[in-house]
Amino acid sequence: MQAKETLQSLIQNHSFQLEFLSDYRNAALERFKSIKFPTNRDEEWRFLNLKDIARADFKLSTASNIQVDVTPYLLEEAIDSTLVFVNGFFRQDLSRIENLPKGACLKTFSDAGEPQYNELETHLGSLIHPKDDFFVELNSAIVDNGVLVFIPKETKFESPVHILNLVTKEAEGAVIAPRCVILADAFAKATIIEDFIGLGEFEYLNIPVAEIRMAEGAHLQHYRIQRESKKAFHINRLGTKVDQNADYQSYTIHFGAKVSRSDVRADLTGEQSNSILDGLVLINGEQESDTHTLMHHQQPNCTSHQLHKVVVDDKAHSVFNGKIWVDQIAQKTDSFQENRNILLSDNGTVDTKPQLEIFADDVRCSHGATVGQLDEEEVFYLKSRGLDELTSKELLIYGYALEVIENLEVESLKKQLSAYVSTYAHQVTEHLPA
Amino acid sequence: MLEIKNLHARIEGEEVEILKGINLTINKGEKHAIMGPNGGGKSTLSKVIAGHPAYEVTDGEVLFNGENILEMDPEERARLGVFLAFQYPVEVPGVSNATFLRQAYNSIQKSKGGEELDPLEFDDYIREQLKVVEMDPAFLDRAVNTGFSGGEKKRNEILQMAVLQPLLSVLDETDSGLDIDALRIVADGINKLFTPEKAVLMITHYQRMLNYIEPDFVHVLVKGKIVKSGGKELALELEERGYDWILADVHTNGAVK
Ligand SMILES: Nc1ncnc2c1ncn2[C@@H]1O[C@H](COP(=O)(O)OP(=O)(O)OP(=O)(O)O)[C@@H](O)[C@H]1O
Ligand SMILES: [Mg+2]
Repeated sequence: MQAKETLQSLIQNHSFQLEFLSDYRNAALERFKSIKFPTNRDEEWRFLNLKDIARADFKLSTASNIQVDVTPYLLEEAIDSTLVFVNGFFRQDLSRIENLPKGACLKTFSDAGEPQYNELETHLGSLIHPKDDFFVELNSAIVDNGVLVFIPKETKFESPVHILNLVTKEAEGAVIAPRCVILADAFAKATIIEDFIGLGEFEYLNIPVAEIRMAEGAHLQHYRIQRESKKAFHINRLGTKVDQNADYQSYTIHFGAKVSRSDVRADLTGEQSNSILDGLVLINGEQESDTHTLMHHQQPNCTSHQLHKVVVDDKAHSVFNGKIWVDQIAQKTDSFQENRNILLSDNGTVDTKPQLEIFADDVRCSHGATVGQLDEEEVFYLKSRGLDELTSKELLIYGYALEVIENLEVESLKKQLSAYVSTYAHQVTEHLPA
Repeated sequence: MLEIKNLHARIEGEEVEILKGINLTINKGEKHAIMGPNGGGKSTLSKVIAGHPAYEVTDGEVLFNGENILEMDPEERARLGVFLAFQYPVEVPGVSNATFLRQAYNSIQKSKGGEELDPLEFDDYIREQLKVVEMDPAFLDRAVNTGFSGGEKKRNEILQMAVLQPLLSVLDETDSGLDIDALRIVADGINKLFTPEKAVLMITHYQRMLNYIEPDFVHVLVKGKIVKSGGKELALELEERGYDWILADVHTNGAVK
């Protein structure tokens, strides 16, 4: 990263679109000034290679009306509920929002009306921890037109919401700071897809932040698909508050980026709430992918599930750090966590650290991690049916990854992702010793 | 069709042999049964025939239609027509039964220079095969064996046999786990698939399977050796008397023929 002063002055001289966020930005910029760029000496950043980000000089992304063909990325189920951002800027011409339920809001910050402004001001930054994180503060210091989703009480979004974040070559070398606030009122129901796609192979830094607040009995499916350019850096943070009886189901899929980092935190703040934080990471070449999660059980009788599956090939490097905290009050917690890694090459690396911190005495918690190759019995089984070694392995890798994809309830997205999984499985088996 | 001569095998890297000189000849048109106490080496024999990499053959030969198959990979054996219905079928999450079966079918067809089927053609084909084992088409869309009940897995093995049309089918305890009706259905299926050009080697602990699929020969495998062979009456005798009398013979006389 260039001298922080340079970046700071870029920010200070940048003309932002949304005036009403300037206080928020300025305050963040002040905090940002006192934060050092993280290094491997910081416990939270121990395993991730940050050197390439440190080395790069970033500018701020600027708006343009460049033509982009979004059709390959559109999801037919979400055709009336798609917001498209190009290089961090909202594109009305490419978006389409129709037939929303009464009282619902699916808007950019700039389009949200007065009452929602106030909502926004209270929620922005309220659910992300820690607040003194370099990338979070950078996002906050340059936050502009994000997305506000509000699902009113007892309302269901029939079609999934697709927030498509595209990055084009124009944004080479730029920092992009998507921001998303999702508010689900009591017993509201929706599926929300945050999709990050790089159109080509070039360097940029994408630092999305999302905050989700779920009231009693709300139900959310939340998919975050990271298919950035293989030269890009993607560092995202998500905080979710899950109230009584609410059900939060998050699936994070990481395919792209040279270096990617995902920080997810789910606070189970109401009794009988449930949270799923499942993940799939498929990496090869020199990709690095780091997932940090915190599942925080703060009330009794909650359940949580976390299956984080990874495939590593070539010199790729995966990090998983998953914490489950169970507060003393959170009796009868039922929590499952597993990190499964398939390491296909000698030069790949997997660092995994599942952690349990339990202060309640009457809980059921399990956690574990495995790192290994493909299962020999499974390979033999397929071969005994006439499939050759490589095809067998390809099919097993495909199946391993698809098990996560299958949970997604949006068919067209499943199809797009399965196609990617299939290409990946083919690529990584091609050069395996037969 | 299958000639096993003085076959010795052990787990790769270990000292003790599990198979200690197996001799067995199976001609086409024949049905054989192997019985014997737990841990005797029946499954090991079946896996060695199929080419499981965990086992190392230390002596002997396995000829399939005159060709030594011991150096071949499992898939090559499968393409020649060797099929193993597993005692414990393996779950393959995320891979649908239909996809798996089509790929397996096509790879075998390809090696034979036969016609490969696209998904639609294969769908027609497999629906016929489902009838052989009276299986619900819903199983085609499910991941291979994943979450299948014990009996469903066994039936799925025979579905694979129906699809792949092997010459030699080694059925390792296909009967265990099947309920009374399912056993009849699956056994009927196996009989339907049988032709004078094919052969079956059944591994079983019980006579009930053999009531449906009448064996021409019954062998008793104990501690890595076939210690007794006979006709189908031998199975009835074993059902009646257990293995003690044979084991006693083995102890006093060494391996008996
Ligand atoms: N992969 C393995 N690792 C360790 N031991 C093995 C392995 N395979 C076989 N054995 C041992 O070899 C012996 C023979 O096992 P095998 O499964 O062939 O017996 P079996 O005759 O099929 O028994 P059952 O009737 O119970 O199915 C047993 O003692 C078993 O524990
Ligand atoms: Mg056995």
